[in-house]
Amino acid sequence: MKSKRKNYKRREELLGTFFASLPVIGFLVFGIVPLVLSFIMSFSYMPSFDIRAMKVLEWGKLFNNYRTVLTDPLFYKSVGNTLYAALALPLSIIIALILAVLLNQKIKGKKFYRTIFFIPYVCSIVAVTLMWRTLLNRNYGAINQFLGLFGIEPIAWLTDDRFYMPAMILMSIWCSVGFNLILYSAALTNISPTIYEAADIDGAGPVRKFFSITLPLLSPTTFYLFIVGMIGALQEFVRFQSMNAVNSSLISPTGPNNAGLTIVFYLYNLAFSQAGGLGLAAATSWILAIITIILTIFSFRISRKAIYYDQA
Amino acid sequence: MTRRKVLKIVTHIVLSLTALAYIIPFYIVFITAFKANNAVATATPFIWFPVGDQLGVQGFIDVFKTYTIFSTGKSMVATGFKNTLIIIVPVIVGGMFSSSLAAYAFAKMKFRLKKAMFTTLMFSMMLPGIILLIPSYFVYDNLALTNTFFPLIVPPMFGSALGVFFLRQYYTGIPDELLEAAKMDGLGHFGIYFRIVLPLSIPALIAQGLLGLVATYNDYLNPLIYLLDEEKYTLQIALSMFASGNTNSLHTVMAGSIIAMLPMLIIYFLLQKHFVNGLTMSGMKG
Repeated sequence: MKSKRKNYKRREELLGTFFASLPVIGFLVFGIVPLVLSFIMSFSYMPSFDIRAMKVLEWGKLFNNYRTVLTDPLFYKSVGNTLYAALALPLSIIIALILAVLLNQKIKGKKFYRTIFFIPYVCSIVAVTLMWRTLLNRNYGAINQFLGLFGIEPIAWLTDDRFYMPAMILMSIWCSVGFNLILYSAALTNISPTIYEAADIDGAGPVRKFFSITLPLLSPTTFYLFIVGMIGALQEFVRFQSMNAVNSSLISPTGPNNAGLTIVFYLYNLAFSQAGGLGLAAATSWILAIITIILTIFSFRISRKAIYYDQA
Repeated sequence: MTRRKVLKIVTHIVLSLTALAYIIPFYIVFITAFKANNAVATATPFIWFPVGDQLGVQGFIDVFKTYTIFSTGKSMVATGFKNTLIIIVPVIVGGMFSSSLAAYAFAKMKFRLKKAMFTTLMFSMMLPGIILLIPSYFVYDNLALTNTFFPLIVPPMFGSALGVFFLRQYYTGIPDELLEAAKMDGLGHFGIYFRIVLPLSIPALIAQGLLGLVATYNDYLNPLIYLLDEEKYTLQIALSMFASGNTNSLHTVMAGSIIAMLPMLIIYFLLQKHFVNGLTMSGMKG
């Protein structure tokens, strides 16, 4: 009996390790290996995609790739563009919050609205950019028609560098509101109605209730959406690449006057369209990772003061 | 009382205007796809309600008929759809299996490396994915695996950290007494997993699987980088290439868009509840 139990334990030890191993092995092979390689690449001279031609830089020139990137004006342009594009994040969060609060009341058509706002999430980025290319068209696009109602002249959204980014931000908000809304709605249903009832007795109006109860109790969700959204925004690329890919009439592949060149777009171009750019691309991705980590730590610092954690 | 009424009216105005901002773009795609020709589709001012011979299904016919693979003459969209399916099936089935098996081990089994392995997975979630893009391509290229489905299929089959976390949460909720009883009846760990845990977790698996399905179906970056031959394009890449080559026939491009969006839209409308569950459960752990 005793030996049987011991046997069972040993089996559990082995099987448990085996069951749990697949995702871990996957991460080690497809995550850690490229991670380490990326680090080496960022300090290497890489004339081509051939691994045999790769050479780690000499001691004195070790940081050459980083230096080249950090002295390239185009890199700073891409940083600026990425931060500009990231404006979509706070706007999307605010809009989602307003919609979620409105939808948290007893009103008709709740389910219908939630369904509608979430649709972009299941649509591919290519289909969405094609849709927006049409909406933003200078001549027949719906957005210029709408603005025309107010007497505004047609705008060349996708070929004028002043308007390219606002258009992309608008599209980005349109895509992301649904996801943020779903998480806010879930958080709102977790707020106990008794808190609001108590506020009612104290005579608090809807505005007061929003700022004194709803907003603080939603702050963990806001923080989560902000962090996840920020990490995503710093890696913004696919939207811009596909808007260019479906839009052969654009003057430059990265938007008019590089207005659509984000950091990842910059490193993508280095890797795939510039001979010998692989090492530079790897260095850029590490710079981006460091920016991401710094901003994340910074956000956590600030959040300690601003977040209200309710559950005792 | 009147103040309440005003609030309600404002609510309805804001919500319905926002809803219009979502419905109109889809309406434009839809109505443009059913316009007879490019002249009608790109007319200024935009024709909102085409009638009579302004309507047609030529766009849908042309997507299949004129957009073909140069070497084989087969329809690009049909081939793209087939390729997408070839990728999706192993990715979802394999990925879900690996994730859920690991989740079961982390939730209900005892083994020495448990903590170390779990921490490793935690770390994997914090890694900014973009760092891996260039070196991964570099490795596959040197192994002559670019322009194959390998980089798109094999890595996700090992399961994802996010999937493990989500399912582990779910499995922790399965009462231990149930598993003890199964043990008494002589079931081993494989038996418990396949006969008890897996059937009990079908809602969680559907929720996770759907998110994976949408992400894989709509994936653009990976197939864009790895696939070079037209015969290997996924549906999304095929659509993107088609659109860039056909800037002049808007109704055809919009028809292609609809074809590409339709499968996920249908699944979304049928299984909406599971989407929301999957997102709120895996999203709110933070």
